[in-house]
Amino acid sequence: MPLSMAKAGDTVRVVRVRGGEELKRHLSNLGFVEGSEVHVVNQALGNIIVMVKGSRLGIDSKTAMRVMVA
Amino acid sequence: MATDIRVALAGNPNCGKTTLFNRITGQNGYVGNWPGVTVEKKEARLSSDKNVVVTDLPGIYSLSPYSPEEQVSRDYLMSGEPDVVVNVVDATNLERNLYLTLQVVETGLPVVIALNMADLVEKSGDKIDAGKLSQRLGAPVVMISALKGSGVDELLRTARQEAAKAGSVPAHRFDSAIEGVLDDIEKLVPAGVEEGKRRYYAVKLFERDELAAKAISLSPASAAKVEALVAQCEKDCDDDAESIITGERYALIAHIMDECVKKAPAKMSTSEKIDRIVTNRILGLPIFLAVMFGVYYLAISTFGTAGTDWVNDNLFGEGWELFGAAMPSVPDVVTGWLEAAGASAMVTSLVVDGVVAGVGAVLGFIPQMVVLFILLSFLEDCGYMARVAFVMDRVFRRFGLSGKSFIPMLVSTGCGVPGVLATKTIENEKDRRMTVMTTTFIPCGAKLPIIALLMGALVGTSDATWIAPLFYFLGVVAVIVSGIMLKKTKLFAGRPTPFVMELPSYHFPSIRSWALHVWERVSAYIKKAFTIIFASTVVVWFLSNFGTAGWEGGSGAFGFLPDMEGVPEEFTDYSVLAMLGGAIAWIFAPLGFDSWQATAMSVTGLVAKENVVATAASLLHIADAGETDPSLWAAFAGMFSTMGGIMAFGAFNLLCAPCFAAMGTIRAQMNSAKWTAIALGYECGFAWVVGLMINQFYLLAQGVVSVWTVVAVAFAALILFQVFRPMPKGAWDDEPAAAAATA
Repeated sequence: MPLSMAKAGDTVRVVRVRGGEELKRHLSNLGFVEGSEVHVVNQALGNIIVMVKGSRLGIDSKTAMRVMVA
Repeated sequence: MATDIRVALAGNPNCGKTTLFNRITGQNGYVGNWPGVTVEKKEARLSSDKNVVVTDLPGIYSLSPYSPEEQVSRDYLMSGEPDVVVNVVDATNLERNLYLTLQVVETGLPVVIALNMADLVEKSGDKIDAGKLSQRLGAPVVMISALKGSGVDELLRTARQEAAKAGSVPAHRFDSAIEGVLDDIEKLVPAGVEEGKRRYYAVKLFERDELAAKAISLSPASAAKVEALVAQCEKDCDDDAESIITGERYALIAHIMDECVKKAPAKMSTSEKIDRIVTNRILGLPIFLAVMFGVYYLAISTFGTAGTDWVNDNLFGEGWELFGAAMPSVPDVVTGWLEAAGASAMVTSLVVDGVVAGVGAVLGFIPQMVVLFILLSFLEDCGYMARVAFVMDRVFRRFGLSGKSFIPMLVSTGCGVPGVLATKTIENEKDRRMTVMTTTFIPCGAKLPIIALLMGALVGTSDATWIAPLFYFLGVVAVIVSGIMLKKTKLFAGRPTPFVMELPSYHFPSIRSWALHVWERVSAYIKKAFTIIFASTVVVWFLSNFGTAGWEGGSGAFGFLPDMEGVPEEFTDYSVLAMLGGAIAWIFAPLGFDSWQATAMSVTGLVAKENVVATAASLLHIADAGETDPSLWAAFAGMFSTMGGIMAFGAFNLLCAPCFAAMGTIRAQMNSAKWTAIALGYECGFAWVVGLMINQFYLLAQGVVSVWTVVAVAFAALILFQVFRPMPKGAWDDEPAAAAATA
């Protein structure tokens, strides 16, 4: 499922990142690589705050839809 | 003289590089608790040793050459200039920070790793084994706290030792399958490349980094061989080359973390608890509105006003008491000096009515300025600003702007110059231009006196708590309305850029950096009062005291008006300033402030916004010299015939093109005369239209109708149409074209 659908408090793993090359590169540099653990801190109308690789990131809903997690 | 040692500070955004830089060089660079504060590299010498030059690089997540910050940092590191790299690492965020560290170590340059915020890690209960970490990374690791200064001396000592070395060969290795390919590629790297840098170029070639290939002038034959190796590896791993390396780096980091860090049992951190509330989808926005209301309320209506009233009434008004002894006011003292020195009436008028009144009026707002900047600095340093950008992203995205555009606007609350500069972090060119154009709608510190003046004039007291925040939100609404309208034009159409932003942990700012921050802003304000504002008041004094004796029975000669024969009480009406102001006052007639005084105030406001108040004070003083009531408010209100005019005057001056300094910054940022003209033209035009609507609708409510009422209604209809019409078809589909334009 897309990361945008995860709920606050969930911990999920990255399966795949879709989207343009630039966005994909940026997200993977920030730690969204296959198998990364993602903890959802807060979720509001699809915009989402997550912890990944020890850092806290705010992500808009469109971008969060591009990160597939399980 | 010994040769200089060059130290480069590199690290992730918001890891404390600038705090460290300020501490070791004694500089006072701008710091804030959000990513992307530093956008260009800065250089200064160490305060303890002038032979050491320190360069503060912008924060980056990676050494790939895809963002301007990354390019600046990478170019500098690979230029051969730095003798040693200090990689500043946020220890509270070690895993992600090590991703850059691995790349910095790979460059083969001598590296020292500064584990910043080590004290916070200890507090949280985690344990980092610095010795083991150093071993794994092949570079010395020093625990420091840039904020408190601990460990900094040791860091500098270590950096000096490392700088003496020729370089290092990175110790870390990836998975054996990848290493085999990297070894093969390394053999293809031209022989001229020195030993320590060969691995760096091997990895870059694997990632298909064209700039790196060009830097070592890789022969076409070798390039083809590299490509074959990479393509085979991609096939074997079923992934693209860049993702393979990224994955390998993070996998390696996971190992390093396991070995070197003992984590305390995870519990919900305070930051997480605060975030649940302040970024809540229902409460987020109201909390932000309440915070900004609070800032303006405190700055203007409570402590700040109490201080400002005291300064204006006592220091510059009727004298004050010190321990029961009567102390004279500044104008009285200055008048006394001048009389003792035998100055002429003309000089006394220039100094007392012109300069002391004008500059004094600006200085009178210092207490409010101090309170405003104390509050804003706290908000910037504590970590809340990044959350606001996140919350506002939802609002901004509706009309096609990213929450990133909100950061410059928050900075502009202090001053428009750093606000405009902060737009550099917006990648999309159209979004960046639009943000540059609209960010100065937000009232900056220098507009605070205008707001306070309006408040006094409109309501007469400081009880009207709602007016100051109202003008702040007028600025926000102007930004939003402009955003919606402009986004539907061809110039700015395009999809909003993705919002991915690091949200730093909350922390209480150090008193030192907080005080420095406030002092920096306040001292800039004071300096401006004694330079630009001083010069402007002198010009205004000359223009308003010299003129032609054109009154009935006047000689018609040009000269110093108050000394002329039969001069009327309102002599300034015959001054050069009245003539100049009167000549363009028609522009503002529909806005309800057609007096030459109000026009002159608006025009001098384009030089610096403080001038609006300074000019008002000078003009009123010159006209009212001798009157006992020095109240600026009442006299200012007297310049207008209606409340609508006062409000329109306020709106125009808050929204129109900013001061010279900010205009210069806009010019530099736009890097195009055409775009600068578009930006300033739009700002002034929009300000005029808003002023027109305010005045005309006020008049309409009073039952006054004119041609201008129709014009105002037409403009309002046009704005509503542009705001509410659907996004033109195809406007958001040109993303690739926009991206190409940016590149």
